[in-house]
Amino acid sequence: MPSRAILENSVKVAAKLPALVLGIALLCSAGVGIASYISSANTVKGQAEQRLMALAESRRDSLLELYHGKQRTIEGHVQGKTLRAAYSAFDAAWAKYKDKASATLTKIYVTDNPHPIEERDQLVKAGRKPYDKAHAKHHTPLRDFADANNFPDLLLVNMNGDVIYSARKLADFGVNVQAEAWQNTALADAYKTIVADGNGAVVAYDPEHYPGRDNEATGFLAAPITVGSKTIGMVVYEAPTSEVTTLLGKFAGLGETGETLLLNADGLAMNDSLRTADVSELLSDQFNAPEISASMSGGNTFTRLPDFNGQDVFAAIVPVTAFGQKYAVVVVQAASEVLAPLTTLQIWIFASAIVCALIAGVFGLVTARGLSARISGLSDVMNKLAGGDTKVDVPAQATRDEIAEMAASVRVFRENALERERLEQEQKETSFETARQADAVASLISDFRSEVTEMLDAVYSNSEQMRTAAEELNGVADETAGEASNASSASEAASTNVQTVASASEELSASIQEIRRQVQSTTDIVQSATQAAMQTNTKIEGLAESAQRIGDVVNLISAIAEQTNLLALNATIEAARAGEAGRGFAVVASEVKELATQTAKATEEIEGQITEVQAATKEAVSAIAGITETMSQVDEYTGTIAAAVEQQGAATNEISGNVQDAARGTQDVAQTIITISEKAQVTSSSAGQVLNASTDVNARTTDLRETVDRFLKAVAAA
Amino acid sequence: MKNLVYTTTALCFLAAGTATANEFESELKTLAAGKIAEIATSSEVIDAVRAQNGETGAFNQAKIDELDKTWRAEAEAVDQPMIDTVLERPLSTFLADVQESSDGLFTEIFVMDGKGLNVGQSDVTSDYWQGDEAKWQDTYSNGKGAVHISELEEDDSTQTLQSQVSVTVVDPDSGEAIGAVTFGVNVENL
Repeated sequence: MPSRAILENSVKVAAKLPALVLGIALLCSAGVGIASYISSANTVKGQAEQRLMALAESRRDSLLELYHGKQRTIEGHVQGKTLRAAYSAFDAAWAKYKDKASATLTKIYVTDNPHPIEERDQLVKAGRKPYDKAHAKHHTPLRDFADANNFPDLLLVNMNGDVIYSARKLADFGVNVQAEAWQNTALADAYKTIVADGNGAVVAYDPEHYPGRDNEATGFLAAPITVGSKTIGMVVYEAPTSEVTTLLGKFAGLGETGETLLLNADGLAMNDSLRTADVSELLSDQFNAPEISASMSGGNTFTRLPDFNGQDVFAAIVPVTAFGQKYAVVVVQAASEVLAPLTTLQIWIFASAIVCALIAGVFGLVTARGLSARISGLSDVMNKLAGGDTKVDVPAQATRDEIAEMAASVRVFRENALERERLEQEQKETSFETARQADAVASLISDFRSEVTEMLDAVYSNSEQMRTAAEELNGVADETAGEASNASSASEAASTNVQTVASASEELSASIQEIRRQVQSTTDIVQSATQAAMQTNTKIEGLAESAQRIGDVVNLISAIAEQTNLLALNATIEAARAGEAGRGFAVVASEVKELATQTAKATEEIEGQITEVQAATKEAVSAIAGITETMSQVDEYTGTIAAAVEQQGAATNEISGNVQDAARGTQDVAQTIITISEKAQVTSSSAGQVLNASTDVNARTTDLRETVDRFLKAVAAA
Repeated sequence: MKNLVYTTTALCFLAAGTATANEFESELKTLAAGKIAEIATSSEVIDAVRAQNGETGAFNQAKIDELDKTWRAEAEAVDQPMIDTVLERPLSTFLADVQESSDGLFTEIFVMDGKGLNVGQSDVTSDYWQGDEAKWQDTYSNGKGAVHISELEEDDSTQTLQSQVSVTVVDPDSGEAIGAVTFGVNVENL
């Protein structure tokens, strides 16, 4: 059982198939899953890029709009009369307080301000003094302007660097920006730039820690106040940082982790993240990254920053230039959130792969169980068949598959085994039959022997009769020859007579009497010749009858030969049926057949010769008839000649010619007689041959009898 | 110099007047007959004017000019003793309260005596003596019921359009004019 040994060493089909199906299902699911995942990842990343870039560009545009709006607002404000009038009023009033201005006015508007610090701007009129009057008149519109344009504060700085007005009256009101404490502030720089250096444009300052706001991050926009080409002072607007923060603090489309930041060229945050309400990211450098700096001088960038403030993020970086300075709008979103759909997808792919694999595994297990049960059923049947148990049933197959075909083949094996058993049984029965057949052949042989002997006896007696007939025919022929010889002599004599007539006719002219006599003589001779011919004719007819009788005998011989031939043929067939046992008999039958054939040939020859004799006899008859006729004509002619000789001697020549013709006729007769003689000789020799043949048939019949005897003995002995 | 300024101002008024002069006149007259008259006839005003007329009735023009000059100087200075005296009077406080409670309708209120000198005021005026101006001349001189309405004036710095409405202050006992009161009215808040 080598196949079983192999099976024992290998995994069974029932396990193999489910494992295979499971493996394929897992492979396919994994393949589709991975392809879907990669495709989806690209899509998700592409969408994230589009979304974040669009947001970044949108924020940049909003920022630019904000900045440009502020710039236009400031330019309009600076050029308007209101600001200049207010500045002039404050500047003039401030001057009236001389060196006590700062102390006096700080006391009135800051220290003694009846409002809490965040509402100090509610103090409009603090007194009747020149500054108070200017303040009462100009503070409200300036404060309202600042409020309306989201400037946290609005300061006026005179040519000495004094902050002569502040809308909110905070710590920087009344100070001189050139003082040591304010040296490094934006205000000091703006004063230097605008008042000392005469810069005519709006100057912007990024937020930085500013002492005037308790070191909070504060940015400024400063512009000169001019009359014509002359700068008379400076207005400083506190930058609307909160507006930028608010503008960038919109998180629509940014999910839970999205964030928008504005970074300056130093990488410092220019806005506070509204995501973290309790922490200010303003001026924080925690968001700086080389990619952002690169983007400021380059262009729009979308990238993944694995460590952006400790977070793995996707970042859209869009550069902005405002007030001559470079910034970058950075929109970021945590990679985990951007790729969150992929995590869900992963779970789905994994779950569907498991479900598919489970279904495939169960299906494979069920199918394999079914298949292996059928296969092992067949295998049992085959084993039983191999062991010789042909009664085993081949299980019926519900489906038409290869196993069903195998079952059909096994069924054929079983049927073949059954057939083999049946054939062996049959062979046993056949040997009895063979013995029975041998007995039958023996009886056939003995029957055949008696029949053949009987027939040969008949052949022998027939051939004896034939021999006798031939001898008789021979005698007749000899007689015919003798008669013919006589006729020949007679015709030769006739010829001589004609010759004589001829010579006599020549002498006709001399004597008609002589001619008449001669003619009479001729007539007599002719009549006797005619009589002789008549006799000859009668004899020849007798010869024809003899020939006819020979022909009958020959026909009998021919019939016997045919019968013999048929017998020999039957014997050959029976010998062939007998197979090996009849081989010797077949040889003898063949020889008998050969003898019969030869006999037939001999009789045919005799027949031919008899026919020829008959033909010759007929010719002799007709020839003799011719002679007879000629004789009567000669008789007529001689009469006519006699008359003619009497009437006209001139006819002598014609008579002579006629005599010549007569002479030729007699010669023909003579020739015919010779022919008859020859034919008679031929008949004689044919009869001789028939005799020989019949003698030969006798001998052959004797041989055949001996041969048949030998054959039958041999058959019987076999 | 001063003449030049006046001339320029007058020209400006003429130019502006054609466009805006009488558009609020009826409303301002109604106001003058209403709330303004009410204040003008209040005891605070009348008592104060009577008292000051007792003091200033003997002032000659030289004295008046000297006081006005002092006032003008103080108005542009940090130290303002004279202005403080006037503005600390009860009438000034009263008027300041009136102005404050007017919701921006009144931008200034000042009361003048029989000489045209300030008696009390809600805010500092540039002059102390108004006797040379139409607001006093056209009211005090015309006696009871007189109303003077100035041309509309636009303040560039405050962007407000206002007109001064002046009425005669009459002694209720005698029915005679004893002074005048001028209200700066922001016509936009009418």
